[in-house]
Amino acid sequence: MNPYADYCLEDFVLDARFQRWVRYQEADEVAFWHQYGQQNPQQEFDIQHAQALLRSVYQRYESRLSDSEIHSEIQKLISKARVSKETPIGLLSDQEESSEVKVIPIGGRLTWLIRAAVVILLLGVGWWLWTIQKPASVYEQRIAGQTLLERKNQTKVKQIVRLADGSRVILNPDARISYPAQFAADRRQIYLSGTAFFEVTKDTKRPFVVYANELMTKVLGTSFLIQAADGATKTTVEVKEGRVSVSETTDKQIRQRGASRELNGLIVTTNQKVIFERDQDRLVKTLRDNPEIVASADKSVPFQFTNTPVSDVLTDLKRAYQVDILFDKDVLSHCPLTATLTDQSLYEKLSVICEAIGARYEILDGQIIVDSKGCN
Amino acid sequence: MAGPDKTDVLDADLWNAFRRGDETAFGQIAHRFYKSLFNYGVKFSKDREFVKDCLQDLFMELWYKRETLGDTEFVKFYLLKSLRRKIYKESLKQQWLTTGEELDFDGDDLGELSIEQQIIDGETHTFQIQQLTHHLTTLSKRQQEIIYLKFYENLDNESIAQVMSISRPAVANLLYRTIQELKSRF
Repeated sequence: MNPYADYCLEDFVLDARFQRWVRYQEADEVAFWHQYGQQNPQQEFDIQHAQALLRSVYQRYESRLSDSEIHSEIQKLISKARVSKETPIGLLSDQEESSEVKVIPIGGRLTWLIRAAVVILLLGVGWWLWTIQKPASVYEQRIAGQTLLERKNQTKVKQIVRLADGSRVILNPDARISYPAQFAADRRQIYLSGTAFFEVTKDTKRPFVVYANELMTKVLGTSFLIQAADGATKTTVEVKEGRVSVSETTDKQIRQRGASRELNGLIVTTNQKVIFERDQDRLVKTLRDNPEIVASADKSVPFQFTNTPVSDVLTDLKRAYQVDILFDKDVLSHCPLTATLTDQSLYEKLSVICEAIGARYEILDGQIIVDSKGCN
Repeated sequence: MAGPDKTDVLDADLWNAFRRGDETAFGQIAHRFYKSLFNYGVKFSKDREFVKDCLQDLFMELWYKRETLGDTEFVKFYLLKSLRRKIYKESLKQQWLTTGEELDFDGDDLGELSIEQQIIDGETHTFQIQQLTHHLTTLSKRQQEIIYLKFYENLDNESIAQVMSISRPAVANLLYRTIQELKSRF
């Protein structure tokens, strides 16, 4: 298939590959477009004009800046950066101001002595700041200065903690939680380090809020698992049943939210999971590794099908696991399936179904998408 | 195949080294974007040294903020936007602009056609390109800026909208109209 078959001038100028060719003239792109032009003479006009248009843009807006000019600017930046590292951030004045500060010469060697002394002093202060800040994990920073009860699981097995509101927290080994002896009137706030499973009793007036690493998980009543080891690059929240809202609590996020106190978290529902990657500083929603049939769903569904339209099968799965499954109902209602799917996991079930009708599925943003061309 | 120009995407190692405070990585990143930002900056101010000063400040701000920065894919967009804002602020300070006035994108300072470019272009296209180049100057300032950000800086519509502080549909609209206008000149 030729992806450019329907392209006209407008499409060519906006195409990233086409732009790269015109701009950088890389050898393989040149060869590709040369051959393309020969094979598609009917598009010659559009290609040529698109090329001319882009070239005029590149030419027109290019300004002269020599490599040596760039080099000297970059060197300036690097040396400024180096100096700033020797000075703790807190003591460094804002860049705009510091450029106006002039060093007043006091006289020869003395100035240098003073400078050296200042640098040593600053290095000392910096080192001190660094050492006192370094060991505190997000968890420790959060609980510092608050009067809270702490429970830490120092055993090798899981431990159950019952909270005043009737909720249960199952702590994995080494996990710890901190919470007030008496929850506030408007919220049930709790801090976690490590992995724990929560079964939260319903109380619509007092949301249950868990702080773990950079994430804040807010629920009304549900059960979910949080994995948040100190210093871990990944923090995850998996929902077994119900709905929770997960938001980042990094400084940046809080600043961006600004004055509005509203927390627009990511909504995570039954059998979904969110992963926060510290390096990437972003939340990704997907499904749990092994979704379970929801306890409140009708357990009697045997998952035995005889000539059942696949659209009905998927609807049953959707109901049992309470996950979103997107598919084309018209197409799949003509695909019959005969199978017994009682003991397989959700993903095994989906594989069997897709195999049988020549479809495929993918998980995108916490939903399952079944893609099928239909069956005849 | 679609997507940002590969020169705009920093690899994660470089970015992480920078965030950990490696000055060499910082220098490499600055180098990667310098020319492109300078190019954008001089469209708003003819004073090259002024633009260089703004860039020094801008990159140092990036350096101080390195620990709180997020994804790398937005770096270029972030820098372009900050540069525009910075030039605007500085212009007010220097009283080149009065409050309420907008920055003018001005591409009048034409680059000469380089020898390499002429060879690449071949004789046949050169005249046509000169014509088009001339026609670019007759576009409105906003049209020129959009064309510049789209083709020269390779930004997507969303980013252009944010850099220029207009809505995304407005970007799509204006872009479409501008291409049509240029096309009609053939």
